[in-house]
Order: sequence, then structure tokens, then C-alpha cells
Amino acid sequence: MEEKHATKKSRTDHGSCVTAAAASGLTGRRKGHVDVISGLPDCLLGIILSLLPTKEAARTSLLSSRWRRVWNTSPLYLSDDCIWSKKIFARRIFGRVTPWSRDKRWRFHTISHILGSHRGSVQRFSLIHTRFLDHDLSVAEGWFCILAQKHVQEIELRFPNDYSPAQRWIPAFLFACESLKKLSLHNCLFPAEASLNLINLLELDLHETEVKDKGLRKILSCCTALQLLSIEDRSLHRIHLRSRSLRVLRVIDCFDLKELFIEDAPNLQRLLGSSLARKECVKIVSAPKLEMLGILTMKIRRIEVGTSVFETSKERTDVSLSTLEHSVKILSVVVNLGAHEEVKMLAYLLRCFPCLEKLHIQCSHNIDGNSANNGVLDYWEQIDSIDCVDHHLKIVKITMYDGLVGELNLAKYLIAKARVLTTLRIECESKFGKRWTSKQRSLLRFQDRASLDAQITFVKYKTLFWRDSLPKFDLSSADPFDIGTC
Amino acid sequence: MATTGASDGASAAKKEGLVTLMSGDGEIFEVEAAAVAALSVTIRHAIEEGFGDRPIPLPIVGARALALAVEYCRKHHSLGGGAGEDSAAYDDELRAFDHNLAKVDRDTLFDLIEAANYLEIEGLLNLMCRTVAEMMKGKSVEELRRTFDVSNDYTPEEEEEVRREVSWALD
Repeated sequence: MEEKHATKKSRTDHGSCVTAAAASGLTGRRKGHVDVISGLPDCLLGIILSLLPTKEAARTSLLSSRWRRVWNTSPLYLSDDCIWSKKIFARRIFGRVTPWSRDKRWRFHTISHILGSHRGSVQRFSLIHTRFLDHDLSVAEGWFCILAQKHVQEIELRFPNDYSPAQRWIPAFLFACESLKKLSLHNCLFPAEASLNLINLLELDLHETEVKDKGLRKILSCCTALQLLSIEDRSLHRIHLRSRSLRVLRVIDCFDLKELFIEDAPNLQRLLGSSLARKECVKIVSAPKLEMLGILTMKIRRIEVGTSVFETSKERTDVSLSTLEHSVKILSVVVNLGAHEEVKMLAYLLRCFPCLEKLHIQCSHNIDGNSANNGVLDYWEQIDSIDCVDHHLKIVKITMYDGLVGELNLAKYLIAKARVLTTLRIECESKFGKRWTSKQRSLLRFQDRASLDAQITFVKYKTLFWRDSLPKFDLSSADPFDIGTC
Repeated sequence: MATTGASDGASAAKKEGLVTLMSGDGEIFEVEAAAVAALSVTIRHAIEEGFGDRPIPLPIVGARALALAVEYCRKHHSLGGGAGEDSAAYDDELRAFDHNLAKVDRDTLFDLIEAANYLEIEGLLNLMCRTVAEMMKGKSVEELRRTFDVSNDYTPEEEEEVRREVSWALD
């Protein structure tokens, strides 16, 4: 009864609320009015709708004619992740025959319906469950055609792992979406022949997507505004970068990569990867703004930075250090500190970056690492001073620290020599107790530190899924290697 | 003349580092210019236009919402400003602050959304819109109507039409 009454009452004064809100724009809400939320201007209601799952956002149009208008005209965030039919879903779980295909059809029609009826622009379009059958291809092409007309800003397209190459096809109209700023492709097959009209694209994430060398060349030459590029492609042999716009390049798991060649990248700030230089030769000719580099393995195959060359063959380490890279501020390495060659390589690399401020060291423990040889024992005591350690190095993080001789020696060296060090953070496994850490503290001779401001902290190492341990793919994080710290 | 006054005022404001804000209901707030200008685009522009010496009028922002918005700017300016060395610890403190701020009563919540929108404080606007979205999530249309007192202005025929339009979202 009460509910009915309330509805009736508000129905009478609703008109004035809508007009008040519409007429006064920002100042729409009147004090003391019961309908607090409808007082917000359309643009703010649009923002709130954008934060709801597509289905729930659409449902608000049943609230009132104003909400219907807001849903229909504010930028659309359409994700198929929340478009599924409960009825069909229930049948799928309890029924003997799985009508999965019916749900697929239903979702397919629903997406067509939404794209056809919504009158606003499209902010984000995400397909992670929708599968195209042969006869759907023309409809899917039609979607992307509509998206191009509706000035779509972001697209995500994800196919299941078990798809055959023919099923991993990307609709050609996607590449005609000139307004597109952000594109994320998972498990797709990038057509090298497609004509790309993505001149406003800023961010491209190719997640287990096959582009091949030819496709990558095309992307780099056509997407002239591209600032962030992440590549994960086992078919890639060579990355040759010449780009005036690119600021972040991330290369993950390109197992067949032979060469990563940064020829001319005047704005490249971050060169990131899971284990750079392990299999491929890395060559950086011109990247004057490169600030963050890693994760570099110290089992280096070959790295050239300017005219400096670092190379490891089975027998020996070759280094010719002639160019110093002053722009690099943050370096991340994975190193076996028990292996003489790798320790030497780390020292050489540190010399190459005289302005380094932050160093991430991930310890690897190979079999030969446990038997620390004499060379490693006193290596850090013997070497000449290193510029960055003397003048700039402020923060060092050592993860997977086991307290082995090589690891202890490096930490000791940094404490004794780094004059502006503020933080040494050591992350170790949880099996080490308090007694162990206090023993480590005394072994590290913290009282002899070069920087009085230095602080040393021991924290428990947190095991992460492989993908979560990758360097962050963005421009906003201050340090892309700061991951999984607890 | 106006220009001289403004530049004098600007230097005076610079000396003290304060700027005066006037809420829609006439309350005066003296706040650190650096903190609010860093987060509020509107106030930054007002200061740039020489409002340094005079109170900046904020006609649609109520005193209570303004006080909270200023507090938000202060906190985020002091803790979230730079790429701090202890950014993780600061992040936790900021998160806790935001979490508490989001617990305001519903009237204040919507006041804050409008204030953040007018002052162009992006972080605060996002935080408050997210809060409203969280309140809406998982609710049926009737529950939404009750929670926010939204009145229904549809005729039965219109309602049936809308129901058909969004039938895909209703089951």
C-alpha cells in the first residue's frame, strides 16, 4: 500500500524534477527533493551508468523516461561478459543437452540489437565470449562498421585458445575504426594484408596474437600516434623499431625472436619484457629518452647500447663499454649472483647507466649458483667504483634473496658504497624466520653503510602468477617493475 | 587597475600560499593554494585568472561539500603528489581515506558528486560515482526505485514498450 502511494505521489511531481534538472544543468538538484539521484545532470548519470555492467545499466531505463534517455544517449560501454540469458544458462547447467549454441545465438542477436538501437557514441566494446560462426561473419562485419560510425574509443576482442586459425579471424572493419584509441587483441590472427586506418590509436595490446614480422612493420608504419605497444607472439623473428610516437614497448614470450632492434625511437621511455636478451640480440641505437629498462637477463646473448657491446658466449664474456646511457633511471635484472660471468655482466651493465636511481634484482638460483666460486666471493671487493652506485642509486630491491654468498656480497657492497641510498628492500621466502633475518642484518654490516639515510627492510616474498609478475603495461605507474609487493 | 590589484593579490597569496574560496551558501574557506590548485582544474584556472586576492565564488557548491572536497585535495596532494619512495604505504593511507570519505550520507554523497564535477576534481568525481554505482549494483528496478526514490513517469503502454526494448536485460 505504502509503496503504491509513494509511486503515485512522486509521479505527480516528477515532471518538475526533470525540467528543473534539465533547465539548470549543473545545478539541477534542489534541496529537500526526495529524488536525489535524478537531480544530477545527464552527463554525471552517464558516468554512473558506465560503471555498471551493461545489462544493469540498460535496466535503469525502466526507472523513468529520463533514465531511458540517459541510457540511450550516453556513451555506451558494451561488454558481452555480462550479456547472457539466465534461463539458457540454467538449462545449460542442469539440462542433459547443453544448449550452449542457443546462448551464443541469443548473445549474438542481443549485441546486434543494442548496437542498432542505442543512439549515443560507443566508448568501449568488448567481446570475450562471442564466437562467430561462418554465417555470422557478415553480421560481425556490420557491428564493426557501426562502431566505426559511432566513434568507438576502445575495443577488446578475445578468442578461446582452442580456435583454429580460420576461427581467429579479425573483422576487417575493425581496422577502419579511425576514432579507436585503445585496442586489445587476445588469441587473434592479425591479417598482414589488412589496410589499417588506425591513425588515432594510442595503445595496442597484442596478447598471444600472431602478427608476424610483416604485420608488425605495418602496424608501426600505419599507427602513427601509437604510444604503447605490447607484443606476445611466438611467430615473430625480428622487431625493428623506428617510431616517433612510441613511449612504451613491451615484449613478452616471443620465443622465436632473434633480434630486438631499436633503431630510432626518440620518445621511447620504457623498454620492457619478461626476460629480455635471453634468446634475442638487443640493439639500442637511438632512444634518448629511455628511462626504464628490464627485465634483462644476465645470461645475455648480446646487447648493444649505442656503441657499447655486451656479449656472452659459452666460454667468456665480452664487453666493450664506450657509450654511457645517461637517461636510464630504473633497471630491472634477473641474475644468478653465484655465477661469476653473470655477476661480471651486471657490474658492466651498471657502469653503462651512470645515472641509475633504482635497481631491481631478481635472484635466480641455478645449480651452479649454489656452489659459489672464489671469483664471486671477492668480486665486489675488487672492482673499481661504479658511477651510479657512488652518486645516484637510491633504491634497490632484491627479490628471492636466499642469503647465498653471492647475494650477500652484492648487498654488502651496495650498503658500503651507495652514498645516496635510501632504501634497500630485501624480499625473501617465508621459510626464513626472524632469527635468520637478524643474522643477515649483522652479516650485511649495516653499521658501515655509506649513506646514513639508508634503511634496510626484509619482507616476505609473494609468489605471483606468471602474468602478474610481468612489468606493468602503462604510462601511469611510476615504476613498471613495482609488482607484487606486499 | 584591476590587473595591478590582481598581480598584487597574486604575490600576496603566493607569500602566504593561501587562497580564499566562498561556498554557495556564503561560507569562507582559506585553504592552501598549492593543494587545491593541484587537484581542482576550476580553482587552478581561477587563480591563473587573478582570483588570488579575492574570494573565489563557487555558487553551486555547499559549505559541507566544499569542506570535504578541500580535505580530499589536501590529503591527495600531500600523499599522492609525487612518485614517492614509499608510495605503497601512502597508497594504503589514501585508500583508507577514500574509503572513509565514501561512507558519507546519501545527500552529502550527491552534493559531493556535483561539487567534484564543478570543481573538476577528477579523482573525487570518480570515487563518488563509483560509490553510487556500487550502491546500484545487483539491485532490481524496484529496489533501485526504492533506494533512490525515483518516480515512474511512464504510462502503462510506454512502460511496456521500454520493457520490450530492454527485454534482453530483464531475465
